[in-house]
Amino acid sequence: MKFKRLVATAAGVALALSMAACSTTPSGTPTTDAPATTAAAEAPQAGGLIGILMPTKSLERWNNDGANVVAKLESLGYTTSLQYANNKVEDQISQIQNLINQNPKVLVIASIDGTALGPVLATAAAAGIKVIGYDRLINGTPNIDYYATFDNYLVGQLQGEYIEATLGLKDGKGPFNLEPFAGSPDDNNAGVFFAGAWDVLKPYIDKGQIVVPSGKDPATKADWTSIGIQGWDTAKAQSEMQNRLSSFYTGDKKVDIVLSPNDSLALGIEQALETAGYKVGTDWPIVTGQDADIANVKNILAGKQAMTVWKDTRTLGDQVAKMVDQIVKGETVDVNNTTDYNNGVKNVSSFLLPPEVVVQDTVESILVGKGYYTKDQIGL
Amino acid sequence: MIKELVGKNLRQYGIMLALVAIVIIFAFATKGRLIIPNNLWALVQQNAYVLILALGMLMVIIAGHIDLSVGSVVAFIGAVVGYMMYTWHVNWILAVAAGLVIGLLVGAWHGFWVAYVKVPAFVVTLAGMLLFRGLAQVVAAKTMAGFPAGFNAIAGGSLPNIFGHIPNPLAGLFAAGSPFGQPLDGLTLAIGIIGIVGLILQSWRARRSQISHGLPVGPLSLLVVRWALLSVAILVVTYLLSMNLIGGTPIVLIIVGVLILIYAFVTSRTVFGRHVYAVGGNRNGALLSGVNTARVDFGIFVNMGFLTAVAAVVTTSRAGAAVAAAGQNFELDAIASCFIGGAAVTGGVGKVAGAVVGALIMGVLNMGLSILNVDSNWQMAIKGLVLLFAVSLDLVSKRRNAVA
Repeated sequence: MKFKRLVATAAGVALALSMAACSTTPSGTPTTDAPATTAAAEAPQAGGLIGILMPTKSLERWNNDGANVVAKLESLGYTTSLQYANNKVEDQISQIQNLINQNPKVLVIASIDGTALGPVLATAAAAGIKVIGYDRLINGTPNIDYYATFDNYLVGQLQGEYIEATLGLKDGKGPFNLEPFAGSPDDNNAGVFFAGAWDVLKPYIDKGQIVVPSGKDPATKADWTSIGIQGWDTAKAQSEMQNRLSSFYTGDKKVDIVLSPNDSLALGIEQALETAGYKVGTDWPIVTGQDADIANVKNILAGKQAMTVWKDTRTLGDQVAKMVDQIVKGETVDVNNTTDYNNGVKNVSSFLLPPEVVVQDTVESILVGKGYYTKDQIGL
Repeated sequence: MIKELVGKNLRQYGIMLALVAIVIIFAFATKGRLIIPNNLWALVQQNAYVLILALGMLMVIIAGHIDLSVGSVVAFIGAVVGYMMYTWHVNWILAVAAGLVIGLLVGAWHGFWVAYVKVPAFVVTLAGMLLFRGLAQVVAAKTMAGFPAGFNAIAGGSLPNIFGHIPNPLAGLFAAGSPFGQPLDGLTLAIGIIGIVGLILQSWRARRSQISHGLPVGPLSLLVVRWALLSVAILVVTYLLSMNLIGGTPIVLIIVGVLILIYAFVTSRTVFGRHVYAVGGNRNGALLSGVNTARVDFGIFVNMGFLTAVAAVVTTSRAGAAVAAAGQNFELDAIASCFIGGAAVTGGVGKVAGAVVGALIMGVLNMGLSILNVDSNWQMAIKGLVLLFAVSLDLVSKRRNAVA
């Protein structure tokens, strides 16, 4: 039994080494290169299997994220297994189990339900596998080692501050009509986005500079689920916006601001505004967003969406790949926040990347300039 | 005699009464907001897909089958139609036509396995659900938006106000600017009146034909009462809808209306329609009476495929975008509408009017709960309970009638 395991381990190591050898020279930073060249025999090498688990292929962003992380890790000399779980928690648990049996060095997990992975991650920990939470925090387990994400609170805050600055709320202007939306009630991040925006906007509601004619303004930021759109569904957001416009905007009343947490909701909201007869240049409201999806970038150029908060998912992929590399090589792992992301069991060591605001005038300089889209893709 | 008549009609119209009751309850609870003309317009647009799918699903269910694939097929066909317009810049009419043809092919694919290989429809369409969701994600890996205006108008547009507007006789009752005091769109009113006249003529002709064949008919007074109630209902809806400030009669209402008429005719007046009921009621009996049951099964699924394609076009047009995640749970919405509308799980029973009313009940619930700001988690729970109670009420009343 013991002998068998020894053979298996030896085979695995040999395989990993041969793979590392086959791949092109690892292109790490000088600091990561140094130990590899000076003490190749003793220091752990880059290489081996890394499991990457993503929620679903049916949303554009996860396709981009998955492909990007794989590309980065492979360029560092790792073998990867990328799996999508069709937004089903059970499927994701099975995929993690199957991967654990293949003895990966690190698991990178973008969870579907951040609280449902405790038991399976205990198995991973028992097998000595390190776990990095990708973009979504994994809750209620001690067995998450690192967390990499964009600063989600800042995403909402940027949306709120954009509204604040554009309307001159600080100068006491108003009152303006606002319709707030929030993301899927089962998504941990949706509440954080909302909190960021609500902390900026709520004081103005209390002062009467912003009114919410539909009455759908949660009393506190903790009540955000009452206006959450299940599954971040574009069609549901469209119906909800239609209902609010028809029911609460009669006569000459017009909506001035729509706080939309992301682009998939914004797309439906913009469609509803168009149907209701709002015209760009005259009465089209400020609509916020997040993710810089192609369809929404086109809408920004057409004046139908004021802004989107762009999280360059490639930098998240780069960061995660770097963390994986540091874990495997036994180096200190880069983190910049060890206090704010508590998953109910511990403070998870996190690396937060800053999101960026994109508006009509900066679409070209930011999105095209950084090579995220080509001019052709967004119709420039 | 009268008791029997009332009992029979109550059962038939019970579900319609339930719809009226739900509308009234929500109209009061939302302080009239539910029946604001723009909301009526939106109600049509939001529920067009369920109404279209329920028509096909009804025939599937009557024949004793089920189709679990429609949500995925909606996403798949929507993705293909969107891809053609977005990437290949195909004329939108051609893209829609191609989408309908693909719908027929998908239906034929399901029909082939069900009718000729005799694989249970549950299994075939479960496979289809996975197959076409997967294909949809392949075709629509990126959300595609920015379609021609003509295409977006299918679900988002209104018919032109060719008859102009008529001053609202009740405008004085409401404050200036009230949504209920707006001028009336002439075309919407005209369509409503044509609808009423058509309905009366059609039922009168049916009665005359029954008399000429020596079949028993109910008392004329009952028919007149029925006409009066239906006319009032249509008039109220038309009147309210004609005041909407979005444009006029939604184009999608015409599409749905024409489909409802066609399918009411197909299920009740054609050989194919009778064969569907026969197959669902007693498959072996139908077979022994010379009905080609395999061909009927095949036809039902081809038809479902076609209607799914129509729903896909409407859904994609409404969103103005082709999304891989479109159509989630559409099959369940359609199935629930049929069952709420009185279709039997065992097959052989069900009416187009019932399925339409069932779909509207779900639609009104969705909108009413949303206006009342009910948490989306509770909305789901409430809809689940309504489905259960509606079907059990229907079954209990049928059983009681059977005993009496």
